[in-house]
Amino acid sequence: MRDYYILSVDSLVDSFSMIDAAKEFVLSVSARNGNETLSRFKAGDQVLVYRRQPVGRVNVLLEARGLALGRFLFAKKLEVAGGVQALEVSAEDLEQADVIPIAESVFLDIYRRMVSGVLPEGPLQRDEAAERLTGGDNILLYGVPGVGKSYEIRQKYCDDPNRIVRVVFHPDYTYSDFVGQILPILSGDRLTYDFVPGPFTNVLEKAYSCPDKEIYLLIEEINRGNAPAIFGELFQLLDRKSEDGGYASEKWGESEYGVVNYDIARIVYEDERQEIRIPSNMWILATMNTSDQNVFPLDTAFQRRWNMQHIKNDIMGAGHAHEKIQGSEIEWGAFAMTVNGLVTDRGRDMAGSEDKRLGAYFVRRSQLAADKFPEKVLKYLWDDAFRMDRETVFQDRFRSLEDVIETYEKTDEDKLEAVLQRDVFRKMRSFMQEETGDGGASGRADGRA
Amino acid sequence: MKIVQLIKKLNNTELGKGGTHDYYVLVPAELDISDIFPAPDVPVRFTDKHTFERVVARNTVSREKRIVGLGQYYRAKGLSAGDEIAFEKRAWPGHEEYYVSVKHNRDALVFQKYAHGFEILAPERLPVFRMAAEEALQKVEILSLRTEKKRRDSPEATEFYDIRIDGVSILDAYAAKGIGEIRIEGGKVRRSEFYGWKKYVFQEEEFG
Repeated sequence: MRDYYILSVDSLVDSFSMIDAAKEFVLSVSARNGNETLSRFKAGDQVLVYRRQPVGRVNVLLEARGLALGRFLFAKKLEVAGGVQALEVSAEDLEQADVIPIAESVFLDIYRRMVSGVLPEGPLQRDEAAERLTGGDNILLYGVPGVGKSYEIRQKYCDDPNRIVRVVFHPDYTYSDFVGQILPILSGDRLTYDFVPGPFTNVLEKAYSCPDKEIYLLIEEINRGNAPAIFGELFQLLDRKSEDGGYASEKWGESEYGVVNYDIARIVYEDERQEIRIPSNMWILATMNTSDQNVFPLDTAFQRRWNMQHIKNDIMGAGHAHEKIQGSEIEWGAFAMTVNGLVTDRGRDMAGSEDKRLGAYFVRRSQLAADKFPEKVLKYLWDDAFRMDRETVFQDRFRSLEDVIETYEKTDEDKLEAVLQRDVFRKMRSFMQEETGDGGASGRADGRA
Repeated sequence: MKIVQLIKKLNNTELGKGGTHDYYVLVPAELDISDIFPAPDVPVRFTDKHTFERVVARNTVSREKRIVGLGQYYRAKGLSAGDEIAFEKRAWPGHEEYYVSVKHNRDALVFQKYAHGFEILAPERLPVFRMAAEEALQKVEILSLRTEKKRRDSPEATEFYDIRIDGVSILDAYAAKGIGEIRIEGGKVRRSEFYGWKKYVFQEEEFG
């Protein structure tokens, strides 16, 4: 007979997300008092994992598999984003005890709420007999933050939310999250296990079923997750048929090689024996910020399968480059170009410093206002880009961001001149003079033309 | 894949607030950290899980075992006694990643018992806790008892308190130098032990 438990772990323990679904793993927990909390489990027990406050949620279901060679084995049966509260269990127990036995009815209540969020998306109008569009590709757009990558995607590729599915990679994102995983499904009082598709499988199925539409999978921040591991064997599908390979035009964009994956094939083709391929009307778009925030550098083999598209940080080409920052004579373009020059100079010996540069659209036109600009831009420079050497940009007298913002807001003089180092401010002014070539900037200091 | 996660609650001494200005994690004798820090004085490069900033730490072994190199990181995170730091190693055959993260317990009151009463270890959080306590279903009182130097040679005097829940002092519930933690959750007062450290190890089956 199986028993039901809640395993309460510290809120910082997010490692269950790294474990592949259905794969067995050993778990051990030790603490100051030497307590081994897992000894009471036996094979078949169902264990909900609760992460303590401030998370305060259950988001993982484990099945105990018993002892093997003196080690206790579990398998992850279900993981849901966000998780659910365990209202049926005393908050005291959840925060204090490591293992809490619960009744089957309590388990089923929590479990039902966990799976109720795992629902497929609404269908698109489908016409499987229509002629399939071709030319699908894998495009990786890269550049500094705020350069306009997402804007480029909307303008150039797709702005129809019914045809694009967006996922964001992060260090805990896994193959199971991306492709799908075997989850317990409750029908009546019976618990069965079935494959629940992830976003990749859903998009593949949608593209296969809607041949006359271009369907997009957008992966934001691809290099913040371990992309080769997340793609797994599907990595092979990224090689596409093209004219160069001697394929007929009606095949351009389809995967060159098929991969066997029974779970995906059953969802997409309703035939698990069929090799899966990305259809020619399916696009995979990805974005990444350059340099130092690359937690997972993309390997060459992976990169080779993408068409890389650099999004230029065209600050002076932005529509608001010549807009004055309210309360200062300095224009946004001159400000950003000067700051970026400082970032680059400062970071010659620091790998990836260019990622700290300001993108052309780091702020929108409306954010040049005196009450918004310091909160967004000066805060970024103080807290992030120049956190280690603030005096490069800000006057030495400032000891806190609060001082900077207060001075900026209260001064009757030029607001930027009041907070920036004198030579930085001069550089901005010179930049504008060189731009206009008239030896002086025009316009009112309050930013109104 | 193998994941080792080591979580440590920090105290004022480790945070450089004990008068020494040393910043470190004290490693208790019984805690094995060799699966994250393979040898003394070998720097390990961690990435903060949320901000992606890099932290280079190493362990030292002299009078006591410590993890050092954390001063700048502590300052950037604004940590107080009772906050937690987690070191994590993820290992695949031929590939390893190291992460660090912190948890602020801003709504908790952490205290330590001395002969004169409780010392509040993060007094800067006391006003926030008092506000939360006003909403509690039980009456929580934090009463100032006296201001004394902890030792004769202490540079400054320390304020000592009694903590009463529904009129009952909890002073006797703690041994000398014992550390406790209380927080208000859902209107209730929760007391918890200051557990010090925990270690979680996850290992997928096929990994060596």
